Amino acid sequence: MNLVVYARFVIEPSAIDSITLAKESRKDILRMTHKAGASHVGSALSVIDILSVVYSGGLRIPEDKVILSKGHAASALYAVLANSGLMNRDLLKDFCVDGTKLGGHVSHQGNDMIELSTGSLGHGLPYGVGIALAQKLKGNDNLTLVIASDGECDEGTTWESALIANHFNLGNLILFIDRNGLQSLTTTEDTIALEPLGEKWRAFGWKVIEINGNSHSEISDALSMHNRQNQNKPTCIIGKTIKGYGVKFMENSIRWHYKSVNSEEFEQAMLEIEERF
Amino acid sequence: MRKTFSNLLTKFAEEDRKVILLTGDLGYGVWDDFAQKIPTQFINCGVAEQSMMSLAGGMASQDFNVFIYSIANFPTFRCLEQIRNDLSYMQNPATIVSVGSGFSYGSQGYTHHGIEDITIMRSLEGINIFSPADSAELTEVFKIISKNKALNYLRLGKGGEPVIHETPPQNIHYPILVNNNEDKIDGILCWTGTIANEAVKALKILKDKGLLFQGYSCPFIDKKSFQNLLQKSNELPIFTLEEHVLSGGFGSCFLESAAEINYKGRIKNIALNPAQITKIGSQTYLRKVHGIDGSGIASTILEQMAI
Repeated sequence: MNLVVYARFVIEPSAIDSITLAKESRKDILRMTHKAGASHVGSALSVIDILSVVYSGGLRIPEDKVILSKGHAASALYAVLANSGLMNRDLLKDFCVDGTKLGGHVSHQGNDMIELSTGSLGHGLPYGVGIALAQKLKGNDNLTLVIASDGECDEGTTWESALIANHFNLGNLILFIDRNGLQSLTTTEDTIALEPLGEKWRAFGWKVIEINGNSHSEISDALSMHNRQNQNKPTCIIGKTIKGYGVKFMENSIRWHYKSVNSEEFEQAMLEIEERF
Repeated sequence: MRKTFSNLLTKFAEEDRKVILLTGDLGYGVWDDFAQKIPTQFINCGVAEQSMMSLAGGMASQDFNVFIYSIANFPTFRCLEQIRNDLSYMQNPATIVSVGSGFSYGSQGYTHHGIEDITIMRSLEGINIFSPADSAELTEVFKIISKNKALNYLRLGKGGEPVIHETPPQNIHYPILVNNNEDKIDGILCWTGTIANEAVKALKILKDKGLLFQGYSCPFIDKKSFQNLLQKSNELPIFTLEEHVLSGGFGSCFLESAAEINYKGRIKNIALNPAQITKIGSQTYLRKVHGIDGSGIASTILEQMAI
């Protein structure tokens, strides 16, 4: 197995535990967005936990495929890939800079592990349906995980995909909804109300699991509950999360969808993450 | 042409089990044979073109050879962003098929007129745009599509198109001469797609009036392939013809090609008349209304040649 040397420690791919992976990746999100003056910090912080569990053994990477459909949380994906040894850590400093392969929304140019460039919402799930269909035709038991935002459920393709995945019995497809309750201008419920969201997915024939989306044990349990051989309907995991989770002054805030940290806020946030996790 | 395509694809899919046909709930009576012989390779995605196109990208990324079938503007306009982001940008090979180019579905109204598709597909990087005139050209186009994994857009007529080629056309990546070389040529008429039979009628009318024009059918819409024709045309006046709007279409591609090589001859584009764009009727009627039936084409050329 290849060993990758980082500034602080030697990591074997997939040998890192999810808590450490999430902690280090949270710090990298702050470093990347601070350096680039980039947005979407809150969105990246809410999704870091599902990514960390997945890339630290929660799924069978690379056979299982992962699509981050909420592409604006790109910094989270890049950070997790780097800290789990799947991407050269050195690339992180190039986030959003001129000529970079790591765009502010997920860019497949950055790494072969990135299945799809996302950034326009509503593409990841139908693309994932296509991958899952392909895997089913090939007769293997690989899974496809699509990570979407709750606001993304406004998109029509979400519900087209829900119908199609159910119709074709794609038991090898898992959708994780990062349910942080906020979107661009206000809460999801004041924008276009999604509740009762779980009931909607059940009505479309999906198996629905509702968990705390920032809890590694609950995420891990939900993934390990999945029966690769006997699941014949797609699964929707609604992970209730806190936007900006990990940095108190960013939590549950729409402002931190857009704002990047200044130097003082950066120091404060890094200290908080170091102490809290 | 639709029937020819169905036969070709069914045979291809029987030989290669990685070939997948996706349809947006269209093709009644067209795909019965395919669906019956190889049901696992036939996937009806329902009336969900955007998801179907993203799904195609997902399957293509897992090495399936995906054909996406629908009519008119449904597999293009309706899901253009998906073609752009999930196929073109991701470099996923697939073949997007639209039946009903031009006014094939004329009587159904504007929603079913395939008259701006070349423009939008031309705007995307790395898509091969094929627009065969008849089933003979389609057969040759299909050979290329089936042998080369690439991102293709194939625009087809609905059916009943007369075959304009006496022998199987060759080198279909380049404009194909359909009439004999004359000693004295007055000009060149180039077209793409099933407007071909009107073009052939126009060539005959021009000949009867003493104007000898070479006619070229262009099943592959590509700047580089037109330069070959431009370079050997000795600055003769060239008329382009399409059952499509002027902006960004076949004629525009020709103009771009000509500009790149500093072509000194006259180029005139014959395309749809914007003032008539909301008209409804049969393909024959609409071609007449837009001045792209045989006599309309000939009149335009005669008028321009007198200038």
